[in-house]
Formats: sequence, C-alpha cells, structure tokens
Amino acid sequence: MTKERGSDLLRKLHGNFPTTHVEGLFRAVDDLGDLKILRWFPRGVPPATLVVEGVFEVPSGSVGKFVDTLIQNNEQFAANLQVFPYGVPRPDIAIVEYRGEARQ
Amino acid sequence: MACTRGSRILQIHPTRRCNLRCLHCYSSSGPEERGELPVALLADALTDAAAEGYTVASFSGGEPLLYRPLRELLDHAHGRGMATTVTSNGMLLDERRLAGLAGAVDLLAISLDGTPASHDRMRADPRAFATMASRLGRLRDSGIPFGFIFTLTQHNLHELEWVAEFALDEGARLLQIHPLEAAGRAIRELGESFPDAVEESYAYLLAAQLQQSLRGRLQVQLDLLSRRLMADQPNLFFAGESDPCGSLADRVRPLIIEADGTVVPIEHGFDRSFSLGNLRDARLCELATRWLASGYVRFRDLCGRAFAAVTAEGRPPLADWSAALRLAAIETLSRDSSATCRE
Repeated sequence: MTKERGSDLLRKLHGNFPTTHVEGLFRAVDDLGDLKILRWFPRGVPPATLVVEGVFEVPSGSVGKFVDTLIQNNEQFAANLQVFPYGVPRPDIAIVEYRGEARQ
Repeated sequence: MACTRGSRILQIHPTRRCNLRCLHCYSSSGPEERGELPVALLADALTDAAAEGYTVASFSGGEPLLYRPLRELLDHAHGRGMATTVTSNGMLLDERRLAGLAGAVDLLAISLDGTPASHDRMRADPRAFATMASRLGRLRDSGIPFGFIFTLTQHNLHELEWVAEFALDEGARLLQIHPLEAAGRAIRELGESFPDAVEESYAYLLAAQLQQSLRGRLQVQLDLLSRRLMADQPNLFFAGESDPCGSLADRVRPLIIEADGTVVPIEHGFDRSFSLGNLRDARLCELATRWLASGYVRFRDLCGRAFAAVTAEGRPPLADWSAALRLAAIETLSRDSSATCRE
C-alpha cells in the first residue's frame, strides 16, 4: 500500500480542494492569511441556495484551523452529533424507510 | 449532515465467522471462526433491548449472512418495533440470501474500501470487489435500501470521489466514511495507516463537498465529530448530568453484543472491565439492572474524562470519540492498577 497521504494524491489528481457555503467560506478565508484562493465560481446546487465552489491551496499546517473556522461559521454544515461505531451504518435512512412502511 | 441524536442502536455480532479475513477487521473475524450465539439468546436480548428503549437493531460480524437464523432475528426486531440494518461484505448476496432479507432489513450496508485494486488489497482477496459488484444488480432489483461504508486511511482519501461515483451509479442511498480505528486486526496489519488529524480534516472538507454536490441523490456521512458541537452537547456523550430515571438506552448507546455474548457499551472491543456482563449468564434486562447499580458510575466517569480531553481548547477541530474513550479506558485501568498496588 502506498505510503503517500491520500490528501496529497487527491491534490495531484485535481489540484484543488473544498466547496462550501459562501458566507462561512469567506469568513474562514478572512481568518486565514495563508489560504490562497485560486479561483471560484457560483453554482446553483441546490437552486435556492447560493453555493460557491472554491478552489484552494490549504497548507497542511492550516487545514485544521480552516476546518475549525468552517464549523464555527457554519455549524449545520457536515457536522455530526452522533458518531457510529464500526459496522453500524447511519440508521436514519432505515428508520425513515421503516416508518414509511409502518404507515401503510 | 442531519442530527442523528435519536438513534438508539443495539449492535449484534452473532458470529465472527466470515468468508474474508480483511486487514482492517475490527473484530478479527475470519473463515476459521466457528462459534455463534444461539438464536433464542439473541431473540431474548432484542426483546429486552426494545423494552429498554433501543430503536435500531444493527447486525454485523463476522459476515452476518453466514448466520443462518439471521432472518428470524430481523423479523423478531421488527416485531418489537425496531428498525434493522445489516453490514456485509456483499459477496454472498445471492438470490437465496436476498430473498431471505427482503422485507426484513431496512438498510443493508456494504463495505467498500476504494477502487477495485484497493478494495481487494484491504479484503485480502483478489475476487472481493468483482464478486461484490456482481451482486449489486440483484440487490438493486430486490428493492432493499443499501449503502456503502468506506474506511478512511492515511492513504486513500483520493479514492473517495471514485467511491461516491460508484455508489451513485449503483443506486446506493448512503455513503458512510469511517476513519480506520486501532482495533482488531488493523493494529497488526495497518499500523501506519491510521488517519491523522490533518488527513481527517481534509476528509471533512471532501465529505462536505460531496454532501453538497450529491444532495438529494446520496447521503454522505462522515464518522467524525465536531469538537465545537460536542462541547455544547455533553449529555449526548454521557458527560453531562446523569438522568437517574432514564432507561438503559437513555444512559448508554450504542450497546454492543459481541460474538461470545459479552455486552459492552459504545463499540465492539470496548474494554471488558466496563462490560455489562455476558448474555450466557443472564438476560439483558438483568445485566442492565446490575450494571446501572454498579458499573455505570465508572462508565460515566470514563466518559466525563474522555469528553474533557476531547473538547479541551487547542485540540483538533474533529474528534474521534471512540479513540478518546479507548485512551481514557487505558488511563483508568492504569490508575486502578496503581491503586491496587498501593493497597
């Protein structure tokens, strides 16, 4: 198995990284002087929400701070309140399915 | 990602027998394992667990499809009002087994560790991916909702987009990303592959990107916790005020039944000194009563210390709660051992 970081390999594949909501993203960028925006463009996914796809260079030493800032500014975004142990899938889908059947 | 605080999970490992011997297997399962738990014992446990407030019965292993009475237990769980999930390597999903699952399993999770070559390497079987993939058409036709679970290592984040595309193409509803943990066979086989905080942070960013771009088509779940959100919700981690009147599910979840009958909190392999006991000795309801009267205080103390460590200022933004608990358990055992020596 390769010893290279997956994130380094991903960067080689795309030369880019993350996407997030515009407000949280820009606040995060403001807080990080060493984060360089290479390009960005608006995208309508979902149509009701303005989303910006940003392409960044995030130095490894700053990525933790970047994530922390994103969470701070946009708490509902990709943040969990429950973690599932090994072998347990996120059950929400199952519960929705099950309740759907129960109503029939 | 949606809040999932409502899930009250009982995870059952009816056997450690498996057709594979995966490098990262948290339960060190394999073909040589033969033991399994009696179906009557597990049916009683499901009955008791439902009465104690658990709402999800999640079957893992070993390969749960090798446990012949699986259908009986799935039906039993449904009959007690529980949702059911099964986690499988997907290789054994033939027509007969699919027929045995239809209508009884609410979500089937299939392990997928990256591109075909990476998957086969992790599964230690050159046919693992091709065989699993060949089963997906029938699975899709069966109408059973299914998803994939991807194990994140230090070296495979670049394969996550491929995995997401594959999941989407195959009609999956869920892509769950679970960081490799220092448990079971992984400790010996993958010692240098546990993702560090930097890699987990990048995984967060990519998961967020996928979550956004695949919204409405595929649910993306990353099994890491935001330290900031954790800090505001100590009760979810059993580190706040204890509810003296709560059910067992209020006080500990997930609850795990290991393949030898031992019941432990939180996750498979949790330190046995915190276990509720063994189902071969007493029913779950009896084990629960005893544990709440004795061992529960020690468990709460453990959670409180792990929570304080994880949420302390200066810690990485994403928390691996399981790892924090394991570390706190080691410290507890060391402390208890020192106290014993002093006496």
